[in-house]
Amino acid sequence: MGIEALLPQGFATTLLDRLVNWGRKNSLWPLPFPTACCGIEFMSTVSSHFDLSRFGAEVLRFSPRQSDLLLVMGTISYKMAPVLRRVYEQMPEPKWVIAMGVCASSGGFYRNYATVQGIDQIVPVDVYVPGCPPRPETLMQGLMMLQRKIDGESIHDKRERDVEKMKEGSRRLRIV
Amino acid sequence: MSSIDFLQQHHADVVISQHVEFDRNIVQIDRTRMLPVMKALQAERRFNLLIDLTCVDYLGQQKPRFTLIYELYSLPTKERLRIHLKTDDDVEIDTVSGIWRNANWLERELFDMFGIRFRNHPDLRRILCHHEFKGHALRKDYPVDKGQWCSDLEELTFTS
Repeated sequence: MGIEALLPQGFATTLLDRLVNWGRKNSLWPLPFPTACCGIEFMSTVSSHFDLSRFGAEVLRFSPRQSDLLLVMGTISYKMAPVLRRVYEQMPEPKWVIAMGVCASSGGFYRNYATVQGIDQIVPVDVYVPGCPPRPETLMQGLMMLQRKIDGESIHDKRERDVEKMKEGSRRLRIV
Repeated sequence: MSSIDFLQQHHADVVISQHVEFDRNIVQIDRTRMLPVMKALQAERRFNLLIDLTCVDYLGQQKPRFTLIYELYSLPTKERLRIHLKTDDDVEIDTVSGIWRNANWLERELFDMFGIRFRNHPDLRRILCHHEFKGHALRKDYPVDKGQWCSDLEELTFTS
């Protein structure tokens, strides 16, 4: 059936998007940005008991230039916001962001002068993981949701969507 | 002799009021003549720890609006003493950083959060908020959920 019947053994046809996304979603290299107790849950998630490597995301990089998944785990203050933004900008394309816990997602109960009310005001967020802090299973579900999301993307459209969101963040931080 | 008696005997003109609350001696003193009293408490009464230095904003309830609270403790005598000072927006308070070194940062925190200025402080600048922050966050007239976007990266080098 199809063109594969005409090819010698060992060949398969697929869409380029499907092939690239298969590789991307199963080899995420997270950059942990732990600023609060969510980071402790994350340590548990990557350790043997919960074992994040089952989902291909166990290679943690502590340099933004070697990672493609920014895991923001904890409260981001206005003082930290420019740092987080710079870390995001240093990551090479393609890149994704998970906001873990209510503080990163919305500011949580820190509705005050010091706390950013959700990191989506400075970086584009792909998956929000609720909880205070979330259980490791919740983070894993968030990661699997991100994998499904990556699977549905085209290698062409990701960047354009991000640029729109980045403009909004730049306006807030007064970065041209 | 307790420190209360000591203050009543040697610095009676500076003491404004004195009472006991939850077994804690609280003395309100005159802010303009507080420095010799603090020095005497440290040198003669051996209050060698400034446990905390904090402030309450009684906006609309009291005039002057701020009360500074010095929490003192003596390791040799195990005595505790709380000193209150009334102060306002437009006055300077003498720094006690020459008496207790940790007062340096505690006073910077009060400057940052309440806008209280300390006379002769060696390095009076913000300690917690970003240097682009406008206003003083713990004042009662600061909107409770007002955030401020800061674009600069803070310098991460420390100077003593």
